[in-house]
Amino acid sequence: MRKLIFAFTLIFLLISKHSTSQSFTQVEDIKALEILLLETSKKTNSIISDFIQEKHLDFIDEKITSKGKFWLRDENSLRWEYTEPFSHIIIIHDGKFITKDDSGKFTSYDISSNQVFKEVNNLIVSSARGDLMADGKFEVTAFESQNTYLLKLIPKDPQVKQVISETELYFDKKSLTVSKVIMIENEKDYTVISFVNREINAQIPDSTFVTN
Amino acid sequence: MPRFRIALLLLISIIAILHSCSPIKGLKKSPSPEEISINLPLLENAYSTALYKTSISIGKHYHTGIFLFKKNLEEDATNIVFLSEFGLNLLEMKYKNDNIELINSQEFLKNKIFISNLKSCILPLLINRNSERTNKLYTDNNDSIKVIKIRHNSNRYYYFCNENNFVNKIVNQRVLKGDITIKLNYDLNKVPQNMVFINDRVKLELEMDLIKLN
Repeated sequence: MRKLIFAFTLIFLLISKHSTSQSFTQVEDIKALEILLLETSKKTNSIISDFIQEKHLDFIDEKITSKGKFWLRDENSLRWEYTEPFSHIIIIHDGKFITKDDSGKFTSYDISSNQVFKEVNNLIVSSARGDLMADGKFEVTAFESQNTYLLKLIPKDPQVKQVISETELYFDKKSLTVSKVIMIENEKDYTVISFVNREINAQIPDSTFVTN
Repeated sequence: MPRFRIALLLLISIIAILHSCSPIKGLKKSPSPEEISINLPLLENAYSTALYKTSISIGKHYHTGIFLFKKNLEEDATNIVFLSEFGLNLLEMKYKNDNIELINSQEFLKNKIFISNLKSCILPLLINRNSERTNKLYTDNNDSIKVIKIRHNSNRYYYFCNENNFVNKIVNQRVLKGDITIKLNYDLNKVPQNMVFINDRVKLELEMDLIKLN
């Protein structure tokens, strides 16, 4: 009886996995999609959004979830603020990487001093903006479903590939903004960042990127 | 002067220096160390996963992220992962058979001194006070200071206990590599809430704050 239940469960899982992958079909005119996303990205001066970050690790059953809010302005100004399960602020601004914790302690260092770190941060910022496709650093394949575009990006730089082997970007077809990013490190470890309550082109003051 | 005399004098000098730097200077050895029950291993009590918000400063380098300690019952081991804030794995280690093994690390963290110091910081949080190891208890005249000394390979660990026998300071004495001092604070849990690790010789300062226990 147990074997039968196991077999049914396995078949059910295989069917559901298959149907998920079936719901996305490959985009034929990838160049047209690239132009469309680039145009939208060019019109995007700022993004404010809540985020939910879920880290999946091979050796633990439960995922590590954190929540917060981010502010992105132009190409180089990002404030990434965690509110749960702890308070922590990361600011990338004017080539500096600044962190501030809940006790008020903050540190700042030059982001260009570490090439890999710089690339990973570019990846995060570009993922949120949705213009990764155009920078030529990735091998891109595109898929679509009824409401979503899915871009799968594989880094060409072997050092970056060591950190993230593949990135999946999910775009809402109506707004052409990124709703979800999946950063895959290896077969079993990955991070999902979902963006909710997005505001596009809202005014973001300079003070957002300053810690005192 | 014959060579052996020079060597002998050097040896005596080194022993004298080491003794004068000993963390237990002025304390007396107690005949019955087993009478003291302390909360070792520090990160093994009453949890399966522990998450610590972490900042690491070593020389001119600075890293922040999250340390995750996960008991691995199948292998009788502890998985240790250092994650970046964005969730990416930066470093992975495993504690098994009384040793920490580096499993994987990003290139920018692959520094021999950094890895060696990191292992030396974390190991005293995970080792057991088993009977196979030399356990010695040192106290002052009033028994208000209690220090358990444990030897592990070439290192000596001094666990300073408070009145409730909770470890609030560890000195990891490492010959020629610089001592590591760990200060620990507790909140409501049996596991430390805040830990600060310092090695002055390599300008290492590492701080961990407990976020979550499962």
